[in-house]
Amino acid sequence: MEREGDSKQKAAPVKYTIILAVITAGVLLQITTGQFPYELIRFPVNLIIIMVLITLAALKQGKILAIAGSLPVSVFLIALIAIQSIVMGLMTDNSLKGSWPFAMTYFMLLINLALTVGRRARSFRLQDTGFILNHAGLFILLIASGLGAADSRHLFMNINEGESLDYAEDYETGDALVLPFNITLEDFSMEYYPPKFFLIDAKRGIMEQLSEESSQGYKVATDSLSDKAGFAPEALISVKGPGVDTTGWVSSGSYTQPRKLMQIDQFRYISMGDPETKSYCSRVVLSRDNESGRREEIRVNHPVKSGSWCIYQFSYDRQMGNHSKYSILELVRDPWIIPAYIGLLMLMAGAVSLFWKGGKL
Amino acid sequence: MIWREFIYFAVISLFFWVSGVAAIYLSKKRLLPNIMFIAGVVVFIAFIIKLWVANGHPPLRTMGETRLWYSLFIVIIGYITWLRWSYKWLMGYSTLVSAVFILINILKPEIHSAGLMPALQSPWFIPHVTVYILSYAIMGAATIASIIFLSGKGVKQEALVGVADNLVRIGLGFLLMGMLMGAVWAKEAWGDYWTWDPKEIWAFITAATYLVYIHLRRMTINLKLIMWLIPIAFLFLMITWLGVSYLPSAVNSIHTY
Ligand code: HEM
Repeated sequence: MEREGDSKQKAAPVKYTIILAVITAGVLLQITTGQFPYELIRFPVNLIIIMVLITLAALKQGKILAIAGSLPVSVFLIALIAIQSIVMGLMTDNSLKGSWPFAMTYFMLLINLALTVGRRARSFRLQDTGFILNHAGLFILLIASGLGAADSRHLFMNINEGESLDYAEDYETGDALVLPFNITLEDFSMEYYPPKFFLIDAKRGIMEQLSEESSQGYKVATDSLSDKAGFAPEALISVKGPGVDTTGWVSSGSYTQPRKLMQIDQFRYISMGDPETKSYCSRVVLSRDNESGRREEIRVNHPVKSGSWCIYQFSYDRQMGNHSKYSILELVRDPWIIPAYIGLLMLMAGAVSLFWKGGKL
Repeated sequence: MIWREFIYFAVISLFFWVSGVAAIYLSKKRLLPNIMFIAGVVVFIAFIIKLWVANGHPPLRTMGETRLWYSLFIVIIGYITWLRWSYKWLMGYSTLVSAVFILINILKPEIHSAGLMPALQSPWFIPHVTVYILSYAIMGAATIASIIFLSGKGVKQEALVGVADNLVRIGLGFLLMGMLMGAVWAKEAWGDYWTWDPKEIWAFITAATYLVYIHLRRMTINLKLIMWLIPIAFLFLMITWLGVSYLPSAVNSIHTY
């Protein structure tokens, strides 16, 4: 009896020691070889790993597998991922996400999760639905967003108005990749919100936004707006208020020109706020060999699809704003997006079940 | 100006909702609060439809219009949670938050014109933020329960643990929902559902800490130690929350999109 108790007490720390040893190995690999070689797990390697995980999940669990898939191991691994994330959250960059120790923890978490799901699936009862949705959903999402992401490509295309391009650049490797389609940028355009105006009271040291009826009783009306290429935006405004009734030009300034205020009396000035972007959009024509050109508008939050690629509005010439002569598009191909969304949906359903069941187990 | 009529609709809705909360506290019967909440929601939706028709497009473009949906959704979610879990304070809380958004829309009409930057112009924006606000409230309550427990002054220690367990699970449901909707939105806006930017990192740490709590509760470990996780997770929640508006990097990221 005494002996058994002893071995139990010793067995408990062994599993934690093994996990920490694996992570220490990761630290050593990190020091000697640098970041985790992500390209090594590209298709078909990632698929093979998934097969292994699924086989593990299906196996009858002996002593070792039962421990590897046990709840204490889960807790330890989730805590380790959280601790590494805290380190990442305190660093100025997120390079830790591609490090060996992080990858090692991720793989151990996948093994543990596979065993957990497998064990529960074999003795499935209806009340386990929430559990399966959460854990299998997370398993699928983790696979798609980790192993699967090795197959995704993010390319950028810096394209001038009037230009036609059929290749895009991988900013990380510097390679250019030929695309199965051709993009012609017809026009890049931007829209701004109406400018805001501020009253600056130099004597009282305050600045307040003016609207149709501001607290000090001043009214500002915009008579005309000017936005010429190479010049800062300007507005002709009329200000009416106690003892003031004038018109004049104000400007928010730009990288070439200083801000222009309008003085309304000895201490008070009107200032124009920086232009605020309402939307920007690239009008493009997409053509493939076998189809005639398709006109599309690419905007933020409104990507456009072409085959397996999604095209996003990424950036533009920020100094020129509305007068930008080029647009930067981001092209993304993610072959694992469907499993990712399946995992996401399962987790959403799992979240509803968490809400619905609460602490009632 | 349809907005000039907003005050009438808002006052009537708020009257219904506040009476509903009062009815919950004053009587055990559920019929009256049910009628009150639904009546308030109907009146509020009537205004949104009016605005929608007048605009010719869904009112989702200005900050004022966005606040309109918050005011509505937070009450509806609070109501559903009350139906399921009978937390009276939560109904009061969501009515209060809703009232704050309504008051801003009435008292600071000039903010109506302030527009959303392009990345925020998405149907995911409102549900994403609304469930986070709710989760924040629920986790706040769980934290209070855990602190009373840890101080040892609670009369019924066991009941407190039960309340904390329940609140953390409900709150985590909302928290995960907020994260997942954020992921779908990010995919649509930037082509990636997860990029490990500072906000995402801290949201992940927060969720992971609550997960550790939920799983540890199924193990036989010193209860006091486990209960400490709730205030710690809440601290992470605060870092995520405040980080969103006050971190220098967050200010930058708003201007890059
Ligand atoms: C979205 C994330 C997660 C949620 C919402 C979640 C939720 C839960 C819940 C509610 C239970 C209790 C199940 C029940 O009694 O019906 C549970 C148990 C468990 N969870 Fe999770 N969990 C999550 C992630 C994880 C992860 C990442 C792991 C491991 C890597 C894990 C491993 C376990 C294990 C081993 C159990 C014990 C149940 C058993 O042994 O069959 N969970 N989880």
